[in-house]
Amino acid sequence: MKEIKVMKNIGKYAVLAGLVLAAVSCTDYLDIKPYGKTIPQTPEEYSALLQTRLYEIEEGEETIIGDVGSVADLECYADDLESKLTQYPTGNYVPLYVGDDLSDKQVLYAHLYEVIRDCNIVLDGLAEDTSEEASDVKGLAYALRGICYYNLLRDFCEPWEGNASGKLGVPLVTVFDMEARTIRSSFSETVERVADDLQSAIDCNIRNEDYLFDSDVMLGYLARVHFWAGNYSQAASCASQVLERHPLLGGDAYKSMMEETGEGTGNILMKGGTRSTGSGDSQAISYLQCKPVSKQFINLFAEGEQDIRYGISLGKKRTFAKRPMACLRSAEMQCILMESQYHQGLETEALASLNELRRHRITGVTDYTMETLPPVDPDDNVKVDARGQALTPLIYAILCERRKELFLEGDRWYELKRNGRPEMWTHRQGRKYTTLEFMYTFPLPIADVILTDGLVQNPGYDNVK
Amino acid sequence: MMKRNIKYMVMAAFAAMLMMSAVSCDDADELPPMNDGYATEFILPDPEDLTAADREVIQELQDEYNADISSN
Repeated sequence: MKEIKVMKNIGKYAVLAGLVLAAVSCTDYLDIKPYGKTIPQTPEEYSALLQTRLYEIEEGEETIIGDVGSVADLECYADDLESKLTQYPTGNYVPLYVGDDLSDKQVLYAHLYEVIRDCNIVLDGLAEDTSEEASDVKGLAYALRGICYYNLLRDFCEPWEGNASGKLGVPLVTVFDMEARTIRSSFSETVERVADDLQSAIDCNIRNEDYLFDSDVMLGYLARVHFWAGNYSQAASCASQVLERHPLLGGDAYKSMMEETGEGTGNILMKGGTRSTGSGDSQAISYLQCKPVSKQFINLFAEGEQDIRYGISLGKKRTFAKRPMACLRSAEMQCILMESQYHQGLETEALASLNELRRHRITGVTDYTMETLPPVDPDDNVKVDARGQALTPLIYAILCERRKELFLEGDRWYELKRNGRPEMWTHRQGRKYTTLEFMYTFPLPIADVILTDGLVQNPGYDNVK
Repeated sequence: MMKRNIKYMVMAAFAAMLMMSAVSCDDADELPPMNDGYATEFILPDPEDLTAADREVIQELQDEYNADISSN
């Protein structure tokens, strides 16, 4: 009898111990591929994967569209702000030059592929679903994937420079496979991937306005990728279509659009960080003011305050007045159009497009003619155009107009990369730091290169620690 | 005697289970980050010392800047 009682007690203790263990043990132990448990089933569930990304874009993020902080970094790498006059101690909080941030670009690379992974899960899961809602979600996935591959192309691949032959692209991953170890595609294949994804997004005809990426935004990105890749005919065509639907603004409408700190208004098609809380942005802007605006940039405003951008862009005492922003807007399309016309040999049309932009910005301006174009400034860091050809007064005027128009929008760094990757130097504590040609192309993550047989690192990044 | 032994064994087992549960895998590192054990930073070319010509360029820019901020 006593034996039975003892056995009952053992049973009680065992149950109690089991309960305690169950309550505290790890719930997500090795929960890497939870098949049949949390895999989404419906378009709504799949959209949740991407809604987070949309939320981040609106709050401000540095991966997909960018925000004040990421634009500020890009401006520190470029030359519209005078790095040689960086003021301290504030200068300690911003990059002196691109070399300060190159190792951190491995994180950007990983984040871009995380977004691509989510897009691939959505596109795999909804492949057979033909409902209108599924079409919207798939369109969003194509849009995000296309933009991420475009960002990878600009940051992690060498620029076109007149010839794509032999140039590397990035690894192209279009299905969800955790074990995949993909090597780099060619430059042209990556461009094709971006263009296909953006076109697929357009074909999905996203109707849900909360998804941010409508057909016009996608056309704008198509113009961007074709322009970056030297496909000037397609770039001009896409840019013209956007401009037809979103014509250039001038005067007060332009000023109010540029000074709006929240939602993108006017002909801003896409803007990052529209719902940013502001304190982080204000801090990034105040830090950036430690670099005075470069005199060479200020001198581009030959018409002074007659140019509406002068007052919008510049403050007193060599500070900037314009708020840095990451956006896609019609004026960039006009810049793409005029330069694409130039590179196609359509110089008369290019000059006309240039004059059209200037008439929208400069009060009482007289149109340029081929004879009145200002000479090329020999002190400009840019010495050659995107095809590696010597600058002519026309292409130089086009590049300068773009520089003024897209000041503090994170554009100049990519313009330097696209047009010859010039070497520039700055200094800190008696030492000279040079932005070398290879630094315009960011490094692939060290671990990826080690773990993936055949994955080629970009030149200049052989030494690691 | 037998009863007491069983009692001690059960109590010991219970105590061991409690200890195990207390230290169990709250933060299990079953799949360490892929870059664990690898280098994470790139070594860039060393900066050079500023030359006299470099310092002259900087001084010119500084003078121009000082003139600009005192005039507006």
